[in-house]
Amino acid sequence: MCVPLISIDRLTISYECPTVQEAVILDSASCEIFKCVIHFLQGPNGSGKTSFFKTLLGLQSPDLKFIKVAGCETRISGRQLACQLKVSYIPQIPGEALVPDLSIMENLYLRSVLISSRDYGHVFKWLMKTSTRKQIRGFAERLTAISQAQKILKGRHRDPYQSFSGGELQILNLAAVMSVDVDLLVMDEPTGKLDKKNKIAFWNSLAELLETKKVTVLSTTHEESFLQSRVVSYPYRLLKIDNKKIVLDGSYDGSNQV
Amino acid sequence: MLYSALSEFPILAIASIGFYISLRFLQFPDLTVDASFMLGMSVLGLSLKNGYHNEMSALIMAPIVGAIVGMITGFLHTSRHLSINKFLSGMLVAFATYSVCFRMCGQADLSLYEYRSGLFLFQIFDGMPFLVEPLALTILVIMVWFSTQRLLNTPYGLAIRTAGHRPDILRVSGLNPNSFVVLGLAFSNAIVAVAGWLNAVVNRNVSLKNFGIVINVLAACLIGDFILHVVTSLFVKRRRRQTQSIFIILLSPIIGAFVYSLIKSFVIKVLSGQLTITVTTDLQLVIALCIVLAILAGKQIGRGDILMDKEGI
Repeated sequence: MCVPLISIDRLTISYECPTVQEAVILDSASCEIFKCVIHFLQGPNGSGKTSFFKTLLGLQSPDLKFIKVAGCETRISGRQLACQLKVSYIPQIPGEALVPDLSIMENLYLRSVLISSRDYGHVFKWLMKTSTRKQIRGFAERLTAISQAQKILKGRHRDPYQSFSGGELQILNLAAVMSVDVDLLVMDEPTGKLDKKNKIAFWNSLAELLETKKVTVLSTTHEESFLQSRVVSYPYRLLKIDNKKIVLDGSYDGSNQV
Repeated sequence: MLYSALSEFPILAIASIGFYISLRFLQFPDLTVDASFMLGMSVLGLSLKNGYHNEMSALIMAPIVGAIVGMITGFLHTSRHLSINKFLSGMLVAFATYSVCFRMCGQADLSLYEYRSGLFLFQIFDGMPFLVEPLALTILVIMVWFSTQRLLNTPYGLAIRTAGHRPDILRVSGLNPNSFVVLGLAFSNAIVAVAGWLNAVVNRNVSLKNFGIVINVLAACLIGDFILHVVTSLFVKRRRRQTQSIFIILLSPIIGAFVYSLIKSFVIKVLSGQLTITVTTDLQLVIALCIVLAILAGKQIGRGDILMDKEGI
């Protein structure tokens, strides 16, 4: 049942600090990410969750080679992974993934275009495809997979993203990246800045999307609000960072835990 | 007064559109603009001296050469081994390009009247009523404005607009934001080179002596931003305020260029007659004072924070 999508192979992340001689965050940590399973990564602050994600996404230098894609023996780096799989990212602060100069719909449209960019990655096709109002309206119709996204966006298509609340933006981010086919969705504490009501709304929106799409999710969270939401009806795994390794967390006993 | 403003503003407007792309969307105050403006002129000079007595061949070459210069600046800034500061990389390329311009032209002044028999614009506009040429150039500005906003509205253009603010979005999707910075700089310098070509054609003179067009262009961009801000804060209610579309955003360098050249010609024509200032030396001082006064007046009306403050330009 569990088919691995990628596996993390002996990843070591270390920083050189002026005070401490060398801070090792992860020491040859290995784990497997299964297809169509939600992975929750837990750990206290400073245990290296964000560093791990940034290295996985290729945002951090040095660009380490530690990922093995299923069925392939060579190790690749985060940046190469982004070229092979359709990776999408939702940061903790929703504004980090939105451009201040563009309206909310242009932002969401851009993100969906970028994820599917390798499907038509040629310059001329890109140049021909003008994001006219018609295009954006067509895209807006695809966004309505989440009932809440539809509610939020009603009559506000051209507003700047700063006029939306954090919870609304996270749900819109989720709707945008899920409007196209994504292989791996990485979320770095997507509900970190939200209150309890919005947290549950966010996880419920995720569950709503997972009913129609097969996506592998990798997310960090401090909270247990996801356990109260509908996400638990979907196969999930709990991982935690313990003693500089990524290990399976057996403290929860969900029926759908893989 | 209006006539001299009208004949000067199209050149400044096109150059401002080019500069505005790098300033606003890439967050890159690109000093190369100064050199690529001159490069556009000297391409015309080079082609005339080498027997191509037609300005249209230079019009094709100017944006290509400008784009190359912009790419060099982008490369110096984004290259992993160099990663030179934005200002310094622009300045280095600008200085290098000045030398290249002189080498291309051979002399600092080249009058186009020597080649008038072959030049297309001379044959059309000489002998026309005197407002025809500025109007034709204004139509050219509108064409540049329209095609630029169209290009920036493609997914490619959206990616360029992202590269300056949020490069990580591009990186996650497996694209290199640096290549979009280089592309954007090439695009902006190509437009500025066209403005340089236009400057030579309109003034009938390839003059490599006027450095510092970048200051005029920057002033035009800031004034335009500012005017647009005041207008929106006066006429659009705060609750109804939406993101300006690229259509409107690109209007601001054009408006700014027009107002700037209006101020400039006002100073030259009106003030120099009434006050005893010598035009050539005190002109810049008076223009600077006028701009400061205009912004002060507008800030009283607008009562809001203006874009320049927020973006930290």
